[in-house]
Amino acid sequence: MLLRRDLDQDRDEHIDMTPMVDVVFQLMTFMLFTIQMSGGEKVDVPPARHGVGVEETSATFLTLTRPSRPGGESKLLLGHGEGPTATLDQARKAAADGVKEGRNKVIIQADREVPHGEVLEVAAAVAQVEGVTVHLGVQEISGAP
Amino acid sequence: MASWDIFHAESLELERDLSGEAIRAALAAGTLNDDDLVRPAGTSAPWARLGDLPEWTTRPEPNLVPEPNPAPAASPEIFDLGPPPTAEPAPPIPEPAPPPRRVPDEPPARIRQGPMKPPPVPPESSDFEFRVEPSSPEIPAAQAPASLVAPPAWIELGGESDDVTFPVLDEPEPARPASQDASSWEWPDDEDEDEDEDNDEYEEDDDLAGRIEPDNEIEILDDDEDAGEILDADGLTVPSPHSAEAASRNGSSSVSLPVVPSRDWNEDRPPIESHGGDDEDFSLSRGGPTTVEELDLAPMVDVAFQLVLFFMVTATTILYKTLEIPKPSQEQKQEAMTQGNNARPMEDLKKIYVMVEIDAAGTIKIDGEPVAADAGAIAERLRTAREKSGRTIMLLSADYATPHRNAVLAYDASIEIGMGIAIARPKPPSGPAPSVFPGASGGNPPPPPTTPNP
Repeated sequence: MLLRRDLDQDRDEHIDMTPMVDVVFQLMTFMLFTIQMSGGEKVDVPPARHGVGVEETSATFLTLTRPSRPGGESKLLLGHGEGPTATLDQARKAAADGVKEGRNKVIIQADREVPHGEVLEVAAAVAQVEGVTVHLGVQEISGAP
Repeated sequence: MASWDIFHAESLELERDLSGEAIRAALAAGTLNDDDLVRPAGTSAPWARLGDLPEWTTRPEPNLVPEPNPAPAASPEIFDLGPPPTAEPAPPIPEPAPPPRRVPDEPPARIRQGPMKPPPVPPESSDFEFRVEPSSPEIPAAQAPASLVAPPAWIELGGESDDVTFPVLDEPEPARPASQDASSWEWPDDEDEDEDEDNDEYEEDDDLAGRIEPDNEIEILDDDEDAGEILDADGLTVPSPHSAEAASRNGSSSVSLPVVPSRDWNEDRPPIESHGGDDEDFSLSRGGPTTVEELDLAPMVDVAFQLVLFFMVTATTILYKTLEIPKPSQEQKQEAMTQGNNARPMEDLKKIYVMVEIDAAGTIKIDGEPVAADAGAIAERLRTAREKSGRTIMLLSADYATPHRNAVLAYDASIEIGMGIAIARPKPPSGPAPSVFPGASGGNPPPPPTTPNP
């Protein structure tokens, strides 16, 4: 008499995908709510509590790095600090080219230790381009809500 | 010659088709004892103890054969001169087809293996049998000679003298559980050692059957291919408990097995509603691999990963936090100029703007009064100044060499309270012009002053 289970019979084994789907959606939700759409600044811009967000594709970036030594000279770079050293005329030309391409904003990413006078000189140079608005790059205050 | 089935009470073994001589020899040799059970072979009659059958335990004497001249008290009509009937028990139920038997006159090996003695010579069967009228008042049964004592029932049934007939029990059969029919046991024909295990299983099942309800029982018939559906290679058949065949075989030998709920039972099968039809046999067979009805989540996972990739690839919009400062213009150049030849008197500027001065060391003064280098403190001081004088524009006059962060601090405070911003362009330090401003040193006028933010 054989009333035992036939162990040799094939079983329908499936991997339960439900926990995997749950984890995927959890990750998606986490990424959507916590991702910070901000660019990695190459320079240590000063913090500020207020400010407006400017899209990367709608602005022309100029970078002012801190002097290598106290009292030294700052470097004006085109772009996000990866371009070559530029002059004020080149910065003005870059702003003009940006306006032609629809990028009417100029963002000056100046290090917090850069002399204030040098920042203003760069701002005055690009302000000569018609239709340009000047912005100073800042960052969120660390530890601020 | 009739044969008998012997059930060993101690070893729980069954031997079939034993002749009377073999049984007597086994009793004499001690292989059998009074507690062993006996019944006619091939029948489903109830078992009886050997000890209850004096025909087996006591050796018959030759003088017990009734004399042709009976006692005078016996009336002539009690003699039965008919031919001796054959040893044929009269079971109350139709006798099923007898299982294949061994050679009837050859005792089973087990009995033969015992210390056998020469079987006693059976007494000659008498051609005449007599019956004593039970209503005869002259001779009490207790005082009558042994030959006149009322013969056992097998004599009345026409059995042979050496054929121990199963006694007819006057007492009713003890009550049994409903699940255990009187004829519910039939031992397998094979007496191999391997069958002992099966017998043990039967006993366990019987014990289990006593604990469950009779409705949950099924009967598994063996040695009958037409009885039901073949379950497996063991050839077990399981008829429907409600089928007509099962009902008709109620008196036949069968083994009652309980139906134990098992999780392996195919729950998807419709409930069996058997009403005695031949085609509705109850079956324990599994209906193939169980189909798992569950939602296939693989496409859902694919879509989820597609969405993740889409967001990761297309989320290229990076926002930069910025502070918008006034755009310097030539028209407003002279208006906010605080230094140089075209400088306006400081007194006039103080009437229009809230003066914020930052020296090279980072000290911040609002309207000439120092304030902590904190955005909150600066904002509070600016708010107070605005409320007192009604001035709505902040004029930042910072040293050329002051760090950029101090100027941003003033911008942030002004934006916080909604004041306009005017920036006074500082005078460059003495010495060569910075190399970062080659364009500015090429004969162009100095950078324009800041413009007030309306």
